[in-house]
Amino acid sequence: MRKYVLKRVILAFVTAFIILSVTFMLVKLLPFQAPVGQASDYFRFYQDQVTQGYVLRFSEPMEGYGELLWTSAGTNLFDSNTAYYYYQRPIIEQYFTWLSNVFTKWEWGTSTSIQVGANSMAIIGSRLPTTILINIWSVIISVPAGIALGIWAALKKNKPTDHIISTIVMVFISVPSFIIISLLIKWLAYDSGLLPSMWPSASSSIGRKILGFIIPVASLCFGSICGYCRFTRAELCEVLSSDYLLLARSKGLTKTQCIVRHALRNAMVPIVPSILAEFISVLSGSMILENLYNIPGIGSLFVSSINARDYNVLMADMAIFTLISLLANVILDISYGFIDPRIRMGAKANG
Amino acid sequence: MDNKEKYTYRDSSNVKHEILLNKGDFELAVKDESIHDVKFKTKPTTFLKDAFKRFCKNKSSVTGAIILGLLLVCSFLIPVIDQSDIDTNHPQERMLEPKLFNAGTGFWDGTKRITNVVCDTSISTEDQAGNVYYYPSSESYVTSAVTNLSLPRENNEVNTASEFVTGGFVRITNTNQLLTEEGDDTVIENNTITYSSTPYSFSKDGTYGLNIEFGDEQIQDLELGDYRIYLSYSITTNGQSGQSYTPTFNEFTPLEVEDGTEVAPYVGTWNGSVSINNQALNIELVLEESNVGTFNGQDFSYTVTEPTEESSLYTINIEADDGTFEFNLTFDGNEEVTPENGKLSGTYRSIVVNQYNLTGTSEEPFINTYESFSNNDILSEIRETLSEENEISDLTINIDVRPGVNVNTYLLVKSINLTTSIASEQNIVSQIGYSDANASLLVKSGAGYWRCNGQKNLYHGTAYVCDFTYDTYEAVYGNSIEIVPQTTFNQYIERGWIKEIDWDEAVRAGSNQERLAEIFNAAKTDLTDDYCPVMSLVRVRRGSAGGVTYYTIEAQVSRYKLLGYTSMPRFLLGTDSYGKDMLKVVFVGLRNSLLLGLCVTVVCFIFGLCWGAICGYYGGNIDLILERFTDFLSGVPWIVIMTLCVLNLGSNFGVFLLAMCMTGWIGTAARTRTQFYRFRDREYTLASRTLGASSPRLIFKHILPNAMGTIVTSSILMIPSVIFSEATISYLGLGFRDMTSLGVTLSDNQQYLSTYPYLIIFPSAIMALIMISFNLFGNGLRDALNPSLKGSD
Repeated sequence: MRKYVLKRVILAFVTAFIILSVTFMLVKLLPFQAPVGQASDYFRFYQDQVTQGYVLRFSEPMEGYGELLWTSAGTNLFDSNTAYYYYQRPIIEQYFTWLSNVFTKWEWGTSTSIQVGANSMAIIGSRLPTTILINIWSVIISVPAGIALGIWAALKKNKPTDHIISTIVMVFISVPSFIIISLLIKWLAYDSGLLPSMWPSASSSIGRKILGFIIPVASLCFGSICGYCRFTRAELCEVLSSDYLLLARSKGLTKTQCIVRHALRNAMVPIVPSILAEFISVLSGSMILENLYNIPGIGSLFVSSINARDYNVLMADMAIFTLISLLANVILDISYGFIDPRIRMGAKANG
Repeated sequence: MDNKEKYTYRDSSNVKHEILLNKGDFELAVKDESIHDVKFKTKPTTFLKDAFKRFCKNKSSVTGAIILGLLLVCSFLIPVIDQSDIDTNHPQERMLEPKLFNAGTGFWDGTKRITNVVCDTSISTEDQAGNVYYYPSSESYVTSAVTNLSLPRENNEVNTASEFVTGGFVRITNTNQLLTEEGDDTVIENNTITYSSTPYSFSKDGTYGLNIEFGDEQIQDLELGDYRIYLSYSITTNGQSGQSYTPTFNEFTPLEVEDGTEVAPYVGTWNGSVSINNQALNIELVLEESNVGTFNGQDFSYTVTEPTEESSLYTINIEADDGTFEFNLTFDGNEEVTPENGKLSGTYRSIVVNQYNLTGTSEEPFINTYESFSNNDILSEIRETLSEENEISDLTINIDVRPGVNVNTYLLVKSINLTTSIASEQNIVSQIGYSDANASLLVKSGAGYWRCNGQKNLYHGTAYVCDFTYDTYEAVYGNSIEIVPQTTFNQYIERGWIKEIDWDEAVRAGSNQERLAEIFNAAKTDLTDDYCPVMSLVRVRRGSAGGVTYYTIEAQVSRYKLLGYTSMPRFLLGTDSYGKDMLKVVFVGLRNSLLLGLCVTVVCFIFGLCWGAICGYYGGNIDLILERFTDFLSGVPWIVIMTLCVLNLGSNFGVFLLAMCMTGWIGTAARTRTQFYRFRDREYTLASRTLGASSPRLIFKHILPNAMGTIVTSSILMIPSVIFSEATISYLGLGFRDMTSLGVTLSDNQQYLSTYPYLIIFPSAIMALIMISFNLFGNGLRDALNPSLKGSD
């Protein structure tokens, strides 16, 4: 078992490393984005880039280093004889610098326009709690609701209840989340005026802030509830038609005992890992929601960094999303091993 | 029993037995017919036919398939049938509501319900019961398009006024003495000063509208360009003579001088409020060319003749180099303004000012800032900034309201709050005196600020608002009185839509409508009613510029004909912010989205099939290496791949195809691999292999046909997911630039969710429909092709 876990984790690390390396190269291939601000901000930014090792500084124009990024000549920062000329280092050189910066100092690059001069990871760190909070609420609500609906549908299989639940689930799984969000905002916020039409600012009252959670959490829940419901129903239906359940009935257990002791337990085996994985992967799924509802999370950061062409922040954000999805995969794999006795035993038998 | 014969047989353990049987013991059941298999009574069926039968039994899937089919047909037919132009912008036709039925039916009829609009009490109608209806401001809404007008009601957002007022200035000056004089109503609390005004009865000082009309003669020598009229004047106030002020006039109409034959409009109108205290008014008029900055040769000096009676006219004569300008200055005093005592023209304005907040920062001074308000602004808060650098900080909030015929429309200041968070500015704030129209009357005028004027007392204000239904089509395409350039009219004549008209005769007709109709009807041709935008003449004027005589034709014009339609257009789904027909935009978008989905699916299907087949068929090390590669690739979130592709390569169809195919094929490959593993070791495959079949034969003849059903259905379900991904990317701001798609339409119109919800509702409905029907269809297809999977979702 330990070997299995170790193998999965190492594989995930290698995958992450390769993916992030390629992403870094691709981002660096984009045109260099100058920071926003005055000449002094430029100077501070480029000096910072020089110390971090991404940019080279010369005291005169150089050939063969590509496009001149910036020159302090004519900006009144220095006398004319101490002007500086900044050039990008070769990408492969920047790559190794970046690796060492990430591994030794956890520096993922400097923001050029979202918060000029700030470390990208610090920006993400400040926005992550909001995203996680909304997702935790959505999981707290959607897991019990989804599983309960799924069990109900499975027990009433092929009866009107099941048909109604399945139809609703099918509709909500098919309709894209951004449509649901738009309609929720329109009906609950604009038309009825009950809820705020965008994420309340930090200075709003507590009541307003609580109300502000309703639309985002609800729009995330719709999809999740339907997902869990469908999954639970499918698993439970399969278990309910199995032979050992028939055996359990024939040895004298009541229907309730059968379902609680045997059917649900076995059905939960694939459901529990999927909850873990869903929780993690939904972090990245709320990108549009955050954008439409102006939630200051990492999803809206992704959009604003694209719009502002702040590639360092974008890079860090993409790294976070990649790591999250890999982590979800690893957890899914490992938790299967822990929860499902068949896999656990199999792993033991193999070594 | 002698007839016995010996029979031998072997049992299961291969031991020989012998038995004796009579020949007569057995006889053939059917003697005459040859023995063969019984023929099938039922018709033979193929796998596909059987699947189709099963598919048809699933009602929801059939419904899904029908809806899907309809949408597909629409997405190809509607862009062809619908002739509206969606490649260029039509700014005049923007934001038309969806219209299917005639206006007035109340549903899907191109009308828009507008609520809480400040009434313009100068335009009113009275119904039989004696209820008076006021129209919304005539400038914002075309009056003829307004229906279902409600009785005006007070706007609850604003405090009730005891009485009403028609105009005034609010001026804030940096003088201590004002504070003491207004001490009664001044509360100083920390650094916040709240001031409430007090009711007061106004004197005959009034708000004045100034109407400047240029004659044809003055204008003809002006050169081409836009002109603006600037007015400056000095006023001597009571008691303190000699003080002069230069207020800013917050409205002017540019005077346009165009190509010699077309001058429109040649009447320059200025409407502003002038505070006057029964004093002589010296007005200088400087005509400047706006885009150059100066225009000389037009310096004027004014002399104003005081009215002999309260409600008569001020007459102002201006001496200019080339002619005399005539000005009519009207005022309303305590009297109602009637057309006889002044020319009322221009627009009426309604302003609601609830509260002013003046907040200072050192970066943005508000010295001598003038606030001008646009029509129907309901201002709950105006922020201005204070500067410490200037000794005298002035904010003059110039509320410019025209007196209406009924003087109960307008609303003014309730209170003024001055706050500052900067310590160094607290001193300044505390020194600021302020007054509004009320307080100025309490204080003797001439103390360094103006007396404000108005008609009645000024206290908490109120505004009347109304609700109404607005026919957007009537407003855009209905008839209106416009000035038709002579060259345009000549084009109509060339096209045979109308005959030549003797313009001099029309000029002579003046405003005699019967005569003008006679002239116009005489010029009608067969095509006039169908094509000619001009429906009747209203007035024709003659002018000359640069020696060329031209005519200014004011006519009733049918606007839809002007825009090139032969009948009033009807947009089923309305138009968007560019004036494009939403019906066509949505379905062209759907077509493009589907096309992208189809292309991606085909590419992914082919590539994934090959990849999965190699993995699944050969297995072993090849499988292991290829699987690692897909592991890496599937670890990258698709959104990251798409973002990187679009940022590096631009956002067009090809890039989207590439980016979506990059990860899209993994699913197909995995499914193919599983299927190949499943069928590779089946007996029939093994048998074929032992008989010497080659790998291609095994793959294409034995494995693939069995695996195909599952792979194809899962590929069909890829189309909706591609549409979804494309829409998501559009929402992130990286959508198509050069073409439209469902996602682009949705994300572009997201900003109008609260104001024009139909722009979101219809594309969303189409998107939801296509997703639901695709899923229903796909699930049904899967169930039909794999009967064993039925029931599991």
